[in-house]
This record gives sequence, structure tokens and C-alpha cells, in this order.
Amino acid sequence: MSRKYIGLWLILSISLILVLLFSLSDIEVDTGRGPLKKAPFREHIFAKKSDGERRGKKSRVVDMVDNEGNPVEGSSLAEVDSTQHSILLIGDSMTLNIAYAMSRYAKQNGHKFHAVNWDSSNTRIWSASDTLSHFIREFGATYIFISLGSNELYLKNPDSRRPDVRRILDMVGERPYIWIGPPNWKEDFGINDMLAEECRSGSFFRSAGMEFERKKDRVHPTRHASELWVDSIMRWMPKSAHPILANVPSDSLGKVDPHVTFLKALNK
Amino acid sequence: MIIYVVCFSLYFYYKSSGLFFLMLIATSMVDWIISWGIAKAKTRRQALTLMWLSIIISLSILGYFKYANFFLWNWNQMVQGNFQPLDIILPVGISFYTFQSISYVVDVYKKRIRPTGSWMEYIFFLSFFPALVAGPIVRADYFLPQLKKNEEPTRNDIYGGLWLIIIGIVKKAVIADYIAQYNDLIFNDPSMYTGVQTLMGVLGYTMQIYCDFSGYSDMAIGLALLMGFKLGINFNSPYQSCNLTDFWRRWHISLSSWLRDYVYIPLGGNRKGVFRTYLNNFLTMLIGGLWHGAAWKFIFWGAMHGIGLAIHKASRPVLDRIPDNWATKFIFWLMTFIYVSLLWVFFRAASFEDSVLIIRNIFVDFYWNQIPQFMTIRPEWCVMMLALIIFHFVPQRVADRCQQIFVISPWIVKLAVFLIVVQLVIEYMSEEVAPFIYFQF
Repeated sequence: MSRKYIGLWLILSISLILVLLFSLSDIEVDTGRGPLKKAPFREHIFAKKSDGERRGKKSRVVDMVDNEGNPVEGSSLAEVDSTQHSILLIGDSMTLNIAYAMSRYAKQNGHKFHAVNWDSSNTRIWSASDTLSHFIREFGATYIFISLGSNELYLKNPDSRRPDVRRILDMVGERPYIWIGPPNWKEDFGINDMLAEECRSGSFFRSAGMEFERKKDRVHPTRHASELWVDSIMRWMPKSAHPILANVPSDSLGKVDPHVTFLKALNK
Repeated sequence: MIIYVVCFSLYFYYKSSGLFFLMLIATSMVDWIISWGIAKAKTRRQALTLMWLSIIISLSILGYFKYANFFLWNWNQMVQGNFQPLDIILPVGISFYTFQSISYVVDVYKKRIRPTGSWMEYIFFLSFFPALVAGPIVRADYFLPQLKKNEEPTRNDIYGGLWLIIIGIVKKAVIADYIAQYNDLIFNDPSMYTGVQTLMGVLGYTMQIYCDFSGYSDMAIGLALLMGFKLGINFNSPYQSCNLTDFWRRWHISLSSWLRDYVYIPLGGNRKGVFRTYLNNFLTMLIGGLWHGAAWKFIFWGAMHGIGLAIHKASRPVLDRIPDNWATKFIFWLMTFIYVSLLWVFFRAASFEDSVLIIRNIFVDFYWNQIPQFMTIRPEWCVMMLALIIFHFVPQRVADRCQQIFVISPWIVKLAVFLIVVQLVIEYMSEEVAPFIYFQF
């Protein structure tokens, strides 16, 4: 190799080493706008135990089905929790149409219902902010629906989002929840599997594989498709880890305006 | 060095296109044999036949992979048939290396160059990895003499190359990918946004496609320079243009000069009267549009550029009488910029209806008072766009001076600059590694 290239190779190798060391270290460099981001070497190198394993024994609800919908051996259907809940639905731009349909179920069954629609959001955005904790406190949420993952279908390495999913579930704490899986409009690279692993058994509703009528953007299910989607979730509810009252809304219910808080889209 | 680079290039192509690397090898063999056939042909007619044979083979392969479904679909639309699309995967970079191989064979026929002494030299030229998947379209008469000279890269080449790679990374991985996230929202669902938001999305895409493609070109040119090869400039601040002719002299220069030399001039150029000049211009741009993709939107985009060029040429006698001052320059610049930006809408939008909706939104649903609101919501995006526009207007001599300063700067400064850029990429890295826009062509 020509000696002329030595300087170039040194620049490239020293940069790689420094970036690698910084990403593996616990050093945080505050820029005033938050800490300097690190290259995702750590996530690639160290695989962590799944939250399913981490949380499994702590769970106080009876696991009825695993997150593929298969019955868990030795368990029986959990009793329906007939109390009225304060439901909080949070998520990305899929949330709004879900909220329209879900608010009808909530009204029918005497639950309070609030939704927070954060356009273009993803697990990283929610995990990096205290927005979820804030709204849980504000609305006194006792049952959480999470609709996140649509903006992460394209992630080649969905494992990199495991820590974010865990932080979100930590914020949910011991409250019962259902994570509504993204309505895939294209093959994902494992985000659904990762979510299924991280969620408690019976707390992940896999939407992938369902047929949806889509809006013109070919991504978002239409209002009508979202209604059918919510119907499916509610039909699945008795098999979930913590079923609550989810009777089909009657036609006499009239128009229900969901309480939806809109958060402005941030660039990732 | 040649064998090593060829092996790496083929491996690189194998990683991006799988077994299609065999097709690249086959194409190169056929072209190389034909080029020798042309050189040794006893009559001009024989040489001409061989040249057309090579062109037809190259265009047939390109036509099958890129345009078969498009033509079948349109045919079925006409005859109301039951169309089943063929299961065709488009090999990456096929449009680029097909044009390179055509120019090589034509140049051999025109005796501008001699065929390469060995097939290895030819496949080196055709598969040269920095330019293989997204250009620039390297011309044999420019590239092959460098290969023959086999000159060692100078220090200027190496660090000049590194500088270009850095600039390319910033353009692509920091700017284009960042602003794309907003632009995608607008183009994916245009009915959801106001005129101001849509306008920003259109301006954003105008800058995104420039940063994306010129960023890739900078990286390719820089990489080649590291090895001592000069690929020539591919972009020259195209949005500084005050007319469409000037725009095409500055935008994707390797393609526009290829189209000029191998389509426009063979069609007759400006030698066959005014009407034929305009027609040739129009046809050349139509082919340029079709080269970008097998869809009516690209043909429309090309046609509109062709019409724009014809109008500019036709109005030259009038334009020449207008005083050349800052005010007129600004007006012409603005007109050119608006025209080019609006045509990018057709290039990017999913359908013709979406394009019309986007343009309609800008003109019908536009309220000035929403601009401050937009800036409050997306300050970072606005700052990046502003910085980008300012940098775009930096004179070339200033840019060259910056490159020189980098080249002669102490090693530690280069390391610091490189590290800053790497950190910037990490900061702005979108989780989806956005492919280069021009990979699809």
C-alpha cells in the first residue's frame, strides 16, 4: 500500500474506534439539546433478555393466550373485569381512527376514554419523553391501549427498539394493557415478533396479516376498516390477559366524539 | 490493481443485485467482442451493422428489465386485456451501465477511441464500482486513457476525494434523509395538508433530490479520486440557473451530455432547421424522462422539460433584448426555479392526480399567515432548508477554496472534520436507511 494512504487509513480507523468506544461507554455528553447520540453498536453487540422473560413471573394477571393467540397450557379464560375503566389509547397516526371506533365501545360499556394521537411517532419518541406518564396521570388511566410500530415496520433491526418498548411498558407499569400491533401494509423485519416477545402474554394483538381497506396513501386503514379492526380487537378481548367489558356498541348510542389530544409530528 | 478492483466491483454488484452480476459480465463480453469486430470491420457498412447489433442487444436487455411491464400494462389497457405483470426484478444500475456500454461502442464506431486491449480493461470501465449503481455515466474516451496512464493518486487526489466523500455524506445522510422525512408526509398523503405545508414539502423535495443525487455523485467521484481516477463533475449548483437550458448544463451533467451526444446530435441537433431543433430537443428530453423510469409520470416530466427548453430557445431573440441586470436575473431565476420545482412534483408524487392535488393545494389553499406557524412547528427543518439554499449559492471558487484548505490542513484537523461529520450522521440518522433516489433508475 502506498504510504500516501496511511493518513487516510488512520483517519478512518481512529474515527471508527472512537465512535465504537463512545457507543459502548456509559459516558453521556450533554450538548444542551440533549445528550449526543451514539452509534447503535451496543444494541447490535449485546443481545438482552426479552421483556417477556423479564416480566413473565411478575405478571399478576392470568395468561390466557400467548401473543400468537395460542392458548397457554394450564390456564383458563381470565374472568372479565367488570369494573369501569379509564381507558387511554396512545399511538401514532393510526390512533385517530381507532379512537373513533373505540370510544363507542367505551361509551357502551361505561368506560372513560381518552386518546393521544402523535403523528409520525414511534416507540423511540414515546420512550424518550414522559408524555405517556403524563397522560396516564392526567387521565388517571387504568387500562392502556398502545398503537405503535407502524412507523417502524421498515426497521431492518427491530431489536434496536427493544429498550424503547421496555421503557414504554415500564411507564405502563402493572396496569393492564393491550399493544395493538401495526396494520402491516408491507412485510416487516420482525417488529411484530419483537413486540410480541416484549409484551406480557395475552397483551399483544397482532394486526399483521389482517386485510385492511386503506386510505389513498395505501398505508392508513380507512375509518370503516378501523372500525372493523377495533371490532376484531374487542372480539379478541376475552382471550386477552385482562379482559374488560367490551360489548358491541348499540346503534342507539348515537354519535360519539372521542376525546383525542393531538401532538404535533416531530421529525425523528 | 485492475483485477483487484474488477473483483471488488463484481462482488459489490453481486451484493446489490445478486446473480445479475453474471449478466454484467456477459454484456461486457459481448460489447467487447463487438467493439473489436467494429474496429476490424472491412467496410463501414459492416461496422455500422455491428454497432447497431450491440445497441439493440443493450437496449433489449434494458427494455426487458425496465420497460416490459410498462409496455405490457399499456398494451393491455388499450386492448382491455387481463394483464398479469411479469415477475421481473430490475438490476441495480442497469440504466447507467447500459448507457456507458452504448457510448463505448458508438465511440469505437466513430473512431473516437480504440477498443480496449483486453476484456479486463473494458469490464474495469463498465463495472467500476463507485459509478456502477448510480452514476455518474462515465465516458470511455474520458476514463480509459486514465486507466492506460495508471498514474498514482496524489495527496491532493486522496484528500480531495475524502473531502468530496464528506460533502456527499453530509448532503445525503444528514440533509437529504432528514428533510425527506417531512417531504414524504406531504407526498404520501397530499390531501391532508394545507397550501403552506405542501409548498414546503415541494421545496423540500426540490432540495432533497438535489442533495440525494449530487451527494451520491460526490461520494462516487470522491471514491474514484481516492484511487486516482477522475470521473468529472456531475452537478454544478443547478438551482442557480436562470433558464432551463442552463439548468440542464448543470444538472446530472453526465446524463445530459450523454443525451446530447448520443441522442440529440444523431437526431440532427440544430442542423436541420428551427422546427427540427425544437423537436429534437423535445424527443431527447422525452427519452431522458423515460430513462428515469417506466411510468407516464417520467415521460410527462421529460416532455415538459422538452417543451420548456423549446420555449426558452424560441424566445431567445426576445430575451436577448431584455437588459441584463439583477432584477431581470432574479425574475428569470425565480421562473426557472418554480418551473423545475413544480415538475419535480410529477416526478415524485405517486400519481398524476396526486401531483395535480399538490399543485392545486399550493395555489388554492395557501395562507401567508400559516408560514410563521410552520416555522414554529418545524424550526430545525426550516433552518436546514435555509442553510442549504444559502450554501447552494456559494460561488464555486469559494467551494474550491474550502476543499483546498481541507487538503492542506493538518492531519488532526481532517480527523476532527471527519469525526464531526460522522457524529452529525448519527444525530440525524433516520432509522430507515433511505436508498439513494437514483438507485431505482
